[in-house]
Amino acid sequence: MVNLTSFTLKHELPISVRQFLDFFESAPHLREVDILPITSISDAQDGRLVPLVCLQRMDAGHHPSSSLFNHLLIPAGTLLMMGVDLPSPPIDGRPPRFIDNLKNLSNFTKIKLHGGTPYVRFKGPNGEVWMRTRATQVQLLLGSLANFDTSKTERLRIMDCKNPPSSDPVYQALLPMKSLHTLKLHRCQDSHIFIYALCPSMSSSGAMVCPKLEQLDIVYELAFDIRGVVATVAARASKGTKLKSVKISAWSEVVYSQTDMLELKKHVLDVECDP
Amino acid sequence: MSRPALWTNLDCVDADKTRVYLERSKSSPINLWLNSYYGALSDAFFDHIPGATGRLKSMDVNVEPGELELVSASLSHPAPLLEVLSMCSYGDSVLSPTLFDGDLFVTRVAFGARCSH
Repeated sequence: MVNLTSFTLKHELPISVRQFLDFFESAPHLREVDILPITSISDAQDGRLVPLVCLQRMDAGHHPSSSLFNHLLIPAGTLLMMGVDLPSPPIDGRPPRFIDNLKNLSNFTKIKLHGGTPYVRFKGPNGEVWMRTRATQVQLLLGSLANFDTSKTERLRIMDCKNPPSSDPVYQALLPMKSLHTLKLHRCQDSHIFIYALCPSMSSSGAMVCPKLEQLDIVYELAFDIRGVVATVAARASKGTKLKSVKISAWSEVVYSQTDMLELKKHVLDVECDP
Repeated sequence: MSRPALWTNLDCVDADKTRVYLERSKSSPINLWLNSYYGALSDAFFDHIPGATGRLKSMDVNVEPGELELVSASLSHPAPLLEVLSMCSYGDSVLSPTLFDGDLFVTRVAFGARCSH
């Protein structure tokens, strides 16, 4: 199998970790792998590590097991796709030794969370992870972020979330994002929850959530109260973390009060409201 | 007709067509697409493809569970040119250990009672 570059196996036989590893070793040029992760038989020798040096894309099926990933060396730049049962961890089993092996699982600079399809996608210079799930609850999607280091995340985009989360999961998800500079909330049923989480008064310790946040981009379909945004940006500005840009787009005709707009412009360098 | 590369994509739906394609493709690597929905598992496959296993460049198999065993048992010669391999079969399917002369990982070990020796 030395020339094999693409391999798909969707087959309901139990295939052991050792069998997978033997195969991967015999196919060193594999670029694309798509497998049903039936790896219940964990018979691989401790410490055995198989590098997939050419791998570009791997679909590990639904809820893959760490018993396989503990033995694979996934190179930086790889797109890893998997189905996930939330709220359990994306990869079954601990300890999370796989994190060291999976070189694509670090420095995620962009996260996209989609409540409609639904999925969570992490992207960064070292690679990508795309987690498909059946869970449409935003707080479950947000909870999945805790499995990864989001301290380098600069852009977070949350789309089509129809089930408003409670404020604590939102706060807990945003708190580690020390590098976040752009937050986009597109067609989320209750964007206010996210806006309030950014308000310094949300934190009992006084810690600033997302201290590098510069840009807030909101697209909404239903009723939206701009005063929540005004209060949050004003509070952040008073703590020295002034936003550079706020963009608000409505799908319906909306009239913003002159007072709110003036107040918003007082605390943000660039304000754009459409319509 | 004098260009073998034009005759290298096989779907094995018709036996005569498959034979003609194999002849006209001469020794070129071939791409095989088998889908039982289109009735691919017929004489066209069993009569002509096993002898051409060594020319397989890509193989995409999407068959019923019982058919995967027949396909894999028929392809017992090595496939040194194989670059793309896709095998999809849901349910209680079996892969023959002789597939590609035992060169695929799932053929190196026995599957106990399910193995098709």
